[in-house]
Amino acid sequence: MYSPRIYSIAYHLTGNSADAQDIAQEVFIKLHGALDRFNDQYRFAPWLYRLTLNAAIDYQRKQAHGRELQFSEFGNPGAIADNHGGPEAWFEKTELLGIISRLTELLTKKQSRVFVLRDLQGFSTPEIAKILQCSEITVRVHLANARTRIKNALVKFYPEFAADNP
Amino acid sequence: MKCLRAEQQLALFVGGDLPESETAELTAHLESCRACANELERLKRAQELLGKLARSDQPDPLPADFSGQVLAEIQKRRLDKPPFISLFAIRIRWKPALALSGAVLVILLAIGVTRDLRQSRRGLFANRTLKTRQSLTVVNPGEVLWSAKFHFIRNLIGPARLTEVTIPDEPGIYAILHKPDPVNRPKIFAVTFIGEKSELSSLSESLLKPGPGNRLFTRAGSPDSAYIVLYLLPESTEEQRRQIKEALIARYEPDFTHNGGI
Ligand SMILES: [Zn+2]
Repeated sequence: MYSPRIYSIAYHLTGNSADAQDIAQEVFIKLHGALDRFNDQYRFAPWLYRLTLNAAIDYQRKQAHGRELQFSEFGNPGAIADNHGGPEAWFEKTELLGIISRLTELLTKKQSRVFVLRDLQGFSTPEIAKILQCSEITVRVHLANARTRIKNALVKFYPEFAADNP
Repeated sequence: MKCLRAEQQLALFVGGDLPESETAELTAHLESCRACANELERLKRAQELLGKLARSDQPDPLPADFSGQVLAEIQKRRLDKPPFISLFAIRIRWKPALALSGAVLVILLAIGVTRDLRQSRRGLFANRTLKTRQSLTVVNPGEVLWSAKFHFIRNLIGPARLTEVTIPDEPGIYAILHKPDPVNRPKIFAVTFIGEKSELSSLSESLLKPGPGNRLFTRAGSPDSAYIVLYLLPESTEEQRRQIKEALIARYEPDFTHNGGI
């Protein structure tokens, strides 16, 4: 019942189905070993998501070590410039597998955890505070910084995306 | 209100995450600040774009039998490198060394043990605390047996005195050991019997009753020199336990392979 969510979180951070499956499997194996410690879902689900996030982020950081997000990964800049619809229209037509994971790589670990849970998985701030065992204020601080960073990355790659309204 | 403060609030506001108490102040600022209004626009576009990206950037579907695969992997890891086999395998591995002098043999045993521990650390017990107290002793040919004390928390119990051990209510494998010469060589063990049980606790009835009819105790000389090692295999099948048991019996040739009703 938890596997789609766990798999999805792992994918958002690794950008690779096979790696995400490996991580999901490791999470379930750990879960299996710890199952007798949990008798209610209240404690169980947050623990499970935290485990998944940590495993996936560790994996991602190991893979990403020394790597930088390249402009080319967002596609051919010339093609974007020619596209009158702007980046949104372009993204609708293009499949960019793994791009989310490359974006989350730009965040700190703390920002990444909050960002994945809020903006990609749709958890509420109180739920995230429970999962990450921190205050809601802390969640909001990381969330604001994460969104600003993601926005800045997109602005950098798509200057026309940043154009102000007249 | 300063734009710097507004910037953080905008990033929350765009996703509906700004506490209500702060919303009015921000809305008022937006009315009068073009730069922040534009910033909000950019954040909105970024959020929309992200949503689209997330929808198109999806992993392959999970295999239909994913949970089956996970369970199989759990079972496999559990049985891949049972520490019990590793411990016993020391005797096999260094069999040619029997001809060597005692001193050399001790060193070889020590190497073998360390290696085995390292292997099992990588596998099933990677995250478990492993306590070891190794006290390897010079042994004679024919009596080559480990005398180190290993204790994997939860899964490996013993060697403990048969008369003193509390046997848990779990499936697993057990080995009965004795001390051939408890007085002069108190740390040397020999294998008397290896068996498996779906509930190890049922051993208490059959095994732990010292008496003239109990060959295990007869072999040990006295109940005090009979020992037991338990390797707990939760959720193992009888077939899996039997395989491990047969492997151990083939390697260690315990004194008895049948023991009445045990
Ligand atoms: Zn402003």
